[in-house]
Amino acid sequence: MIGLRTRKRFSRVLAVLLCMALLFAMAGCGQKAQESQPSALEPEAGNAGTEVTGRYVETRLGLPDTDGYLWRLSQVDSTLYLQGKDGFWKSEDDGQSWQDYTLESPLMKEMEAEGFALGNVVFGGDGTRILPMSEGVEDGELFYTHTRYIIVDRDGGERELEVRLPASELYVFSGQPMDGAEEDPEVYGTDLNRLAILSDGSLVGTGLSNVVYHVDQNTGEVLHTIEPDPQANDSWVMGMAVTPTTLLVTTQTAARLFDLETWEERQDTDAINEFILGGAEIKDDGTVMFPSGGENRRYIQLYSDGLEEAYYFVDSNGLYRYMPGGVSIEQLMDSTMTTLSMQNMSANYFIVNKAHNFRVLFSARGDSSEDVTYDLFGYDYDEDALLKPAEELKIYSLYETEALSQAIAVYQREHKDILVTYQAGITPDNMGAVTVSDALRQLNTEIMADKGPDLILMDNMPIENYQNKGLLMDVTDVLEAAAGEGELLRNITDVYNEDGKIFAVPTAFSMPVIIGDRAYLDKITDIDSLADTVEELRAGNKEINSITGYRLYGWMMGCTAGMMGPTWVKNGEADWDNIERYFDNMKRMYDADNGSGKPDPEMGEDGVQHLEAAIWQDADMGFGIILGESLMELRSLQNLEGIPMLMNIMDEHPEITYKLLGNEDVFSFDPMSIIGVSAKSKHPEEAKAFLKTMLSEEIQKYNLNQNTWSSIGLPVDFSVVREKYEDKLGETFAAERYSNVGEDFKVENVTKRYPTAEELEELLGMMKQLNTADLTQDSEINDAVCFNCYTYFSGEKTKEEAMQKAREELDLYLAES
Amino acid sequence: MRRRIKGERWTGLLFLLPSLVGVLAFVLIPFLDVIRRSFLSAVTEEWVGLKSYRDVLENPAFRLACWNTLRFSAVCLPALLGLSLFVGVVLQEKSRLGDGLKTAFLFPMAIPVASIALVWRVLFDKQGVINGILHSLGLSAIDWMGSSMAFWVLVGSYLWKNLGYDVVLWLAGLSGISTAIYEAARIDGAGEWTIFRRITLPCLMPTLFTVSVLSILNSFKVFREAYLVAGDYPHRSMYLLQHIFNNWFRDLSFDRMAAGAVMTAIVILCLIGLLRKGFDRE
Repeated sequence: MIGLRTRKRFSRVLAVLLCMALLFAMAGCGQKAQESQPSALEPEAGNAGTEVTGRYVETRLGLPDTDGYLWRLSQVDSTLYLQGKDGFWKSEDDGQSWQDYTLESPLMKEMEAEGFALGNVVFGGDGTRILPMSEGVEDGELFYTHTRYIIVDRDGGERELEVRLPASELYVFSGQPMDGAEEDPEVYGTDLNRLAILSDGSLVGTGLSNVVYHVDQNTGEVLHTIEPDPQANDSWVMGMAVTPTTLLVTTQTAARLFDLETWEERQDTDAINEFILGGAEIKDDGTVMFPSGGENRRYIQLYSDGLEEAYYFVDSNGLYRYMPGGVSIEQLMDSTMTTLSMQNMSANYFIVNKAHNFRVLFSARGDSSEDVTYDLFGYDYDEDALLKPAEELKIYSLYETEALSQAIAVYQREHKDILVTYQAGITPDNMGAVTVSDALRQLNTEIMADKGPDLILMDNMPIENYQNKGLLMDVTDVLEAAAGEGELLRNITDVYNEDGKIFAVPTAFSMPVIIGDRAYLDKITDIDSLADTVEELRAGNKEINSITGYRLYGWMMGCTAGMMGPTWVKNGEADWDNIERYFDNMKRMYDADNGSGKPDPEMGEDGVQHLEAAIWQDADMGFGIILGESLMELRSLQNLEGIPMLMNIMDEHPEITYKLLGNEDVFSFDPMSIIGVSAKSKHPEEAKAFLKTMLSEEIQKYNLNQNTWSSIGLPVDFSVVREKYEDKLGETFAAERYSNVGEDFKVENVTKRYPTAEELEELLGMMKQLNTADLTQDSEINDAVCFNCYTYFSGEKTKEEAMQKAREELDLYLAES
Repeated sequence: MRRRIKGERWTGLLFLLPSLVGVLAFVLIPFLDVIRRSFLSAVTEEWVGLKSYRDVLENPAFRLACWNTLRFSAVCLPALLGLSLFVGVVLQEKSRLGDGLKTAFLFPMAIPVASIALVWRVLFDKQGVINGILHSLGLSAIDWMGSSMAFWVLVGSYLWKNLGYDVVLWLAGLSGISTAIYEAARIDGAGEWTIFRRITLPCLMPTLFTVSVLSILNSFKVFREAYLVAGDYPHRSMYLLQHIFNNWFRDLSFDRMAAGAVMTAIVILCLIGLLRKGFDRE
């Protein structure tokens, strides 16, 4: 029997043990929570208490002084060679400086005199060079390239190599086999691409048919062929390189590795295949959807010097290495904080030197395909450089957006002492599961826990609410500094100001414009007159498909909601007269636009209803009017790609013009890429510096040069618009115009024209007229009015029902504030 | 003796300590922080005194939410208490079927909220099952979630979900009443209604307090279904206190949210206090 005293002692001990267990458990929970949220400030696993060092550091190198294209970067031993349209250069100091280099080859000069042109020179690891010399040949309807190869050894000795490929290589593109071509020994292909020199001196390259040929270096005869994989989704060879024992051939979706001794394909390629595929999904019909959402993936550059048993890759995510037969791809460098991550830069060629440092030649496309600039960057391993900067600048946006990517890359390249991290509340992965309200609540939780972002991209967020709560910092000083450097549209950038302080800055915008005959455009001054005009035009034009260019009124509302939105709420109260006015006029326009009696637009396979005629983009401003599909166009103009087309149309049809779409004296615009700096930011100066980057010429220019599908908005710095057109004011150029009306797809050659200086001033005048930010940022108001308006004019509800619903939703929302 | 009592007290405290620490860390201290925040501005945390309380009391949306919440409680609680007591008494009589039916009544509590929201949509959508039945009967469709009927849908959902829970609580109370009392009453000639009124009800007073408090607390949970189906801004008739708190959270109005939460807590505490006093007096 256990005594009473013993039992009591036992109870006390048990109680103490339970308390200790609880305390340890709680302490353990806290530790786990910290570990699950890594930050740049915490040391890597295995290096607790120490800063991790050692990474590749980017530096800008030199390039020769040339305006022409640069084709190829090569190396032999420690010398770099650069080939371009205007010549050859070499660098003995790893790319810091360049000197002219002359290819000494009497044979080459002879062939040039015969009309042959030098192609991409290939350098072998032992200093051997192959000079492909090509000429175009026209034989009846067949056109092909005839190539002769000059092999120059290290000591300068040279000889010609005649490569004989199957005759089928000649008619890959024409598709028309020549009679007797296969039997005639004098008919053979010669054009080899992606040439590489094997360790035994033989050559390997791809033909136009994507067949890989192994060619004898002495006789030019084909020793081995590798046919495209018949079961592969695509056979287009994107890259090819060799090591002493293997040959790697990559397409967009796969990699094939071959043993150079047996010329058999190796099967141990899971790692490299997975890397090339890069998370893409191959559908049942064979199409490939890449993580970017489209069918075009990131472009991977491949390199091997032929001497080391390793392949190197470069893409927008970083630098990688693959050892043939390896089970994984090693990432040597992440592209964050480097030029590799910049959207407008393409890595064209790269080499890896003996110290395993990289030299990458980038190109950046400007306004047109002819406008290309180049940059050479070196990536050298620095064992003392911190793996990650100790400080972190956090940027947040509600939706994932490309608008920040370029700015982050530019900023990071110039501020290597701070790591920029970007987080979106709603991403393609969680869209549908996370609502805007959920994302905002999550953000607010982090803000209140002092873990919020330093910068917020405030598109689709309640800016004035954050401003009133004191969450945003005054950034007037940043604007004043930026205003001195460019031609800032202060009516746009200063729109979110209170008592002379500016709390959020739109760094891009779009504006509503209307295109049409000036005779009726002059009458349109507000939404009532717009509806009047649409009805009048319909009465006189019964057959035309649409008056405004829209029958899909969800899109149309994007313009008119922007126009009328600022009138719906005043001083925190709904203005029901103006809301009702909007309802009435939208109904009038909808009925008039759909008054042709033509059937409703059909639903396309993409789930979108298509108009009978082409859906015109910003690139084709005014085009619908010319096609006769509408009498006017309402647009939310967010890039200038369509201006040259519109100028051409206005030249051909002087009665057509365009103007800002406003409501009496209210000209609203849609502010975009709105940056706010958090008042709780731990790095206010760095955050302001990022805002300055968004307003910089480089980023404003980048935004301006985006096309319709990737448009980020019009720049707020008009000087970049002037610079874009300054060398071509009023110039015309040839272009193609695409349209499909019904089943017919047409391609027309047209002449487009850049605006004149006066027309640019007119455009600037319109931009300066904008005086109000529209209400699209406040999705609750927008949804309450627009969604219910849609149910009315589409016939789903009566006006009274729709207005009542809008009233309930909007009054409740406004009552909360 | 005194040392023994003191020792026992310490033992008791030590056994209480784990739960006490938990309640302090996750309930009481955070609530003290809420009270603190109700006197400060939301982000800058500057002293504003009673401004947040004034803003909340003057806010029409808050007043609507309060009214709806009170109305909901006033309708649901008596209905739930009465119905669950009735079912409990019936099940107590039918002891053989009782266990099986008890499980069936508890089943709604086990269904995830998201599934219930899905069922709501299927049943009460404009093109939903119920409108389909009405249409087949020649009646016009009802906008269940877009009209004042939304309130009754909410009431129905609450009753359906919580009925079984309250039934179980009543059954526990009923099983604590000695059958000898009933037998004695029947021998004395008491009828069923008299037995219920004079014996069952008085003996269930302690249980009534527990069931009432728990039902009040459960009534706040109905927000989950309402939010999943109708979002941030449902029909006015089902716009509850949690809706406005949720929306204030989204709008960074932590000051008003804190003031509203403090006032709500005071009201609930007073209510429970009054209930306690009333039952103690009985």
